[in-house]
Amino acid sequence: MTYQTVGQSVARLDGIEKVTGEAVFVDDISLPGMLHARVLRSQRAHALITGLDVSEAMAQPGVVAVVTGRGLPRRIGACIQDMYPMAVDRVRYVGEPVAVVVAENPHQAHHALASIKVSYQDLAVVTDPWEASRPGAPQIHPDQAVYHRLPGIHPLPGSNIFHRLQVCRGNTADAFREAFLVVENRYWHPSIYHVQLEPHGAIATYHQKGGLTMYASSQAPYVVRHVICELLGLPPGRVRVIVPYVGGGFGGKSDHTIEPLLAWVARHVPGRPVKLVLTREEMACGTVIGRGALVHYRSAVSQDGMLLGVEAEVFLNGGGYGDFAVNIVTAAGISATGPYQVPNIKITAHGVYTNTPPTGACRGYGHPEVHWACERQMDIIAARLGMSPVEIRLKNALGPGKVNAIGQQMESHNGRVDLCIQQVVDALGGPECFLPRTNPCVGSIALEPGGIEADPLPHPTGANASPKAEPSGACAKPAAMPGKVRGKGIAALMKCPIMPTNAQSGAIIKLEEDGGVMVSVGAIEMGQGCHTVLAQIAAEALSLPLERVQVAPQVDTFHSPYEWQTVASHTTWAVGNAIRLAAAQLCDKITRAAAVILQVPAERLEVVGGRVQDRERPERYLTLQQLARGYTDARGTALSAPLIGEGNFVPQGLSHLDPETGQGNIAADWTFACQGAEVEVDTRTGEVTVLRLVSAMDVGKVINPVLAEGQIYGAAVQAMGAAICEGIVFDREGRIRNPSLTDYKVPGVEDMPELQALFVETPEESGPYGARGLGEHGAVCVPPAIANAIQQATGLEFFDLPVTAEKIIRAQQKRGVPA
Amino acid sequence: MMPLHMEYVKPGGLAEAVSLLRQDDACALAGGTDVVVQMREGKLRPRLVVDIKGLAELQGITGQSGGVWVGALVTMAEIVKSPLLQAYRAVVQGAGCMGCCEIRHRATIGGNVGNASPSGDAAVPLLVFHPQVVIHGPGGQRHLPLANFFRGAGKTVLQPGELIKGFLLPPPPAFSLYMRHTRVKGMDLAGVSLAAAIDRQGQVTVSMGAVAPTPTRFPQVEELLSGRPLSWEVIAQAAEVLSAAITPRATSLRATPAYKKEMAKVFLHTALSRALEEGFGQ
Amino acid sequence: MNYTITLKVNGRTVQRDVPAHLTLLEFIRSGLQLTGTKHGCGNGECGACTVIMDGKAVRACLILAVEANGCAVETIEGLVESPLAPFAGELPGAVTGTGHSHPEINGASPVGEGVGAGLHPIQRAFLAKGAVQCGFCTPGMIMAAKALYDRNPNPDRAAVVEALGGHLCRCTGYQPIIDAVLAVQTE
Ligand SMILES: Cc1cc2nc3c(=O)[nH]c(=O)nc-3n(C[C@H](O)[C@H](O)[C@H](O)COP(=O)(O)OP(=O)(O)OC[C@H]3O[C@@H](n4cnc5c(N)ncnc54)[C@H](O)[C@@H]3O)c2cc1C
Ligand code: FES
Ligand code: FES
Repeated sequence: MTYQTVGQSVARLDGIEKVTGEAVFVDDISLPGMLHARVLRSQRAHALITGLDVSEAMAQPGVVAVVTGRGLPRRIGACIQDMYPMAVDRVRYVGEPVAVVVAENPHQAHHALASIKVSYQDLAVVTDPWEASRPGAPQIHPDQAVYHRLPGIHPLPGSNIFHRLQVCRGNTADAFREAFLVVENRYWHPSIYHVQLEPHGAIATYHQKGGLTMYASSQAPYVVRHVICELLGLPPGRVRVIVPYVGGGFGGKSDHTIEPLLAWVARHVPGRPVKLVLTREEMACGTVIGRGALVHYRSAVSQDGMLLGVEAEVFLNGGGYGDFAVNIVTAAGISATGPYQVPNIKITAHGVYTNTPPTGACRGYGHPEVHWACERQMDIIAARLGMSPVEIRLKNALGPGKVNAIGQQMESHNGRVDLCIQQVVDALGGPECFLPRTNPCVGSIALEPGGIEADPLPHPTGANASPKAEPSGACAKPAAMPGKVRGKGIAALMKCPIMPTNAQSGAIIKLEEDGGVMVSVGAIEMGQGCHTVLAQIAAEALSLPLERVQVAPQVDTFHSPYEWQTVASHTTWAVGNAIRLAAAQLCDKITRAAAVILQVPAERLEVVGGRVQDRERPERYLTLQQLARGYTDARGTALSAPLIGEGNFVPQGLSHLDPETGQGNIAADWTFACQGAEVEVDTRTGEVTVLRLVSAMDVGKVINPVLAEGQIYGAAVQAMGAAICEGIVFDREGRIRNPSLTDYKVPGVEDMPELQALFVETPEESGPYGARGLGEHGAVCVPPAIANAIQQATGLEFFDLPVTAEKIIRAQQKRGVPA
Repeated sequence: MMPLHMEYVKPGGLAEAVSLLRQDDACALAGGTDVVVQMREGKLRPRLVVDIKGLAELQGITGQSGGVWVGALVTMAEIVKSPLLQAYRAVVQGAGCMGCCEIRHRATIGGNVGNASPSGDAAVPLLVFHPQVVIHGPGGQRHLPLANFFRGAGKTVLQPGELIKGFLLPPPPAFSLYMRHTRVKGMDLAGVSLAAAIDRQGQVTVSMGAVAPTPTRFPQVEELLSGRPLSWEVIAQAAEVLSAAITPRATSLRATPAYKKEMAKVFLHTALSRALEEGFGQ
Repeated sequence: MNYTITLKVNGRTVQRDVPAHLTLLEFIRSGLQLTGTKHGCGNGECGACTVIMDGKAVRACLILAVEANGCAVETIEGLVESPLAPFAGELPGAVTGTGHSHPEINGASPVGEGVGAGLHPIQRAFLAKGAVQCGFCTPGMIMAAKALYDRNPNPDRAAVVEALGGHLCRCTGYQPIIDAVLAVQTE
């Protein structure tokens, strides 16, 4: 199939605005009479508020209002209504909003914060999801049983577990009894920040006539609108959410973050816009954080490396409120077996309240958490069996005819992980380069015997590398310098969009007077290039040159068609489908209008290259321009009216998971990929240099190669941070010790490896031009690929992230290799 | 947020600067890369900010009786480019790894020393060159070995009204080297660092950063290594002594005490092997 | 207390009264309404606020506006060759984006002829190499690259990495940005 626009690296629609500084982000907006808000945040991780006195702050210069949680009508939440936009009588994490000062300028608002007096009665604090899940842990939501929640959420009353998902297939007891080898380990992925370069910000005006307008740096204006409507008791038609350019989202601006808080604040100063932009340090505790998961993983394997069974328990840190994390728990549960067919499965994923900031969506959404376990496990198994990590993956890979963990059978259009693996392996030098440099172990080993209940160790922290394998240097490329060793590793992945079964996407295409079109969607352009890709899809579907297609850059809930939210890597797929439907409808209207004018049956007309023409006699045509301007005949009688196409898409045939077995149809499509790393480890300092990161992904159809590569590069480097340097550090009192970019380090330009993105294109039946999602996937299995490469280079096995220089030195010392 | 009610003065001369800095809650502002950050974080709330960047006496890198005079206002970017300072390699390396381009354009050596961070990337290597700090104040001028300048983390001997005018570096040693550990290769503060120098008489000087409240020299290690050919045994012994001598605080986010102790050995070993490779220390 | 400062911004002289605590970044963004320069951290750690002051790239969040008295400051808005280059202070408060589109379809080099004719070569290279995603780091990156080219018309990769060190980008993985800055010289 050849296309005109699809498949081309066309320039981004928003490029010129962004290189000139013209692109407007929330903080660039100032409105007449605008006030500024600053938030007083709890310094206690878990406490009852026993006193709150704002009178002195009210008297400070420039202060217009001091808003507290008093009088908040109801709890909010899209899945579980378990939170207020600001604390009412209790705080559950350090950073929870306690009061907000509104003043004429930000400096005045900030300085007035110091005069607010709060007294607390401290409660016991727990920040670790595993500990919080134990009986006897401090209860963070004692009354969670009464919270309103959506169907399909299974809390464990009387505990901190707000959602539990079980996935069961076959009989794991038999599988483990019959296994040649059992490998059991615990894996820890710490909490991380998204580090969007643009801080969260919003401006809200509560109108005197009732109703609210908000500019927000959000991936989810319709979710924000919904939550604000519920909070303030307003109809959707009275709440307008406008999203200008968003400076990076990565999930951290999805659902809702600061918007309900600001709506509540704006309610107290009707008629005046209020701006709230978080500081970098506030982003650490004032929005959502990502990941934070303990995975206890047991694999049963046959002698020839076939996966017979997997038993896994996942404890996901939900933080103080679980609303945003419910579906991450589900995602982790259903993807814990990775891109492999496993006949016998028993997985339990728990979402656990703790006293950290709430965990929200973060590029990968549950998948990196479990792939860290699953894909490390594969290399450890391969090393035990003396098998190639490539071979063991290919043997077990899902593919056409195979069945995944939730019982969905893969079709031939669902993508090919085997091809992805082969591409990465070839790019990194062939299968021999990945062989474990270790002696095969015979028989079955349980690394940490005993089930979770019997084992009091919470999870691997600190020196948890187990020095099992010894490097032999076989097939190693010579290291660059003495004291430096190199290794290569791969990891493979499967990811599906985790979304409500009724996640809707709309598109409107208006024919403009010049014969071009204006496309409106509810999808947010936050850097991923979706507006450009959607314009390409529209151009292709309408057979128009791309310069004739505009995409309205701002999403505005007053005008833009509905969109669930811009998350789950589903925009190209879902909104792209909506656009194709809208284009079809527009073409239909065009041909029907032209049929009247040209006196030709509509079925004989086609829309090509900006014209509508008679298939049989192409010289009989109208330009779209003629139609759009309101075609009149010789007498001046109008024969055409404005032409607008609309497209409405909802995924077909999805269903809830069975509450007992976790079987069901919640994944609309999958993307398979493989990622490989080459690393160099300085055995004296422990320093890891990532030399190469190669990703191969079956994206169905590449709509725009440069943009697709850009997504994969960015995701890979972001995940490299999680692999080697990122992690939020909490102290005993639940305070974050590294809220700033001085203390929380992300990869910089000097850390950058050589990046490569390869594509496999197995067209997806349900996707526009065969495309499927690719935005998050590049972040899913970089950490295990890097750790697997480190394992090959050093023989050291790591189970908790990030794998820092410190941990490598500690592990070496434990093994007894002098530095 | 910055202090709302502060005042700003840019004095035209040294005398004016000194009298301004004698006022309560006055603070010298050089490149501001520490001062502005600390003000924003609320750690520093000066009433008066005295911008010393106009003071000619604090500028410049000049040769002086075999050694070099480095004005307090000399920036990291200037140090990196200075032909005169290339013989003091460790400090050029330290300046070169500080922050990033934009930081190095503003950050001054006087500010790095004046800020008295335990890990200052200019202060730590500077120590191995035995410089004198030239201090100007209400009582006139005084000199002090840099090693005696620091009083603790963020604390110095400077009295109200006193300013660092610059540093007098004795003639350069034969060899010097600076190295540090950071969590990323990109911009980061040092988790642990070490500078070493060997002069023409075989005297070895060693300093470390981020292992004590101030940049610190290690006389016991220097003694062990000085005045004799460096053998692997001596180096290994010195490395153990150095590692045992440091007692880093456990609360650092950048490196644990155990790692710092290990790196003390590795860095010293690396520095001295480099010296041997380059033909020094035999 | 306010201080009167006079400085050149993008070639034009500006005089304003500012309090001592105002940073150069706040002055540029709020005082002059030149919002192309971004605030990403306020701590010198991200590079989004980078402007060129007296020929050197600096972080505007670490400089007091009063310190810039007598200096020449270049911001991203000054890069485009255009008689309409925004004049400091006379811009109305920007409220909405305008949503330009970029019409050329071209697989190999997405920047078409005549499009963005007034753009600086660095800006064109950023477009051509896919170095822009969310665009929040972009102005700072471009100003750092401009300062580099102003003093070194033929930078090698190491020089580019050095110039962009300490500039965070969370979207692109940096590779396209380095490629873009290196590609400038070939134009
Ligand atoms: C993003 C970033 C990265 C950084 N990275 C590093 C790094 O890698 N390594 C490192 O060591 N530092 C680093 N720093 C810290 C800082 O840049 C350095 O310490 C720098 O040398 C300070 O110099 P300055 O001129 O900016 O000092 P200022 O901020 O102007 O002053 C610092 C202190 O010294 C005092 N002072 C300044 N000049 C004098 C003088 N002549 N006499 C007496 N007192 C004086 C001031 O009153 C103040 O207390 C970094 C800072 C930032 C913001
Ligand atoms: S805002 Fe100045 S460096 Fe981040
Ligand atoms: S493009 Fe988004 S941070 Fe660089």
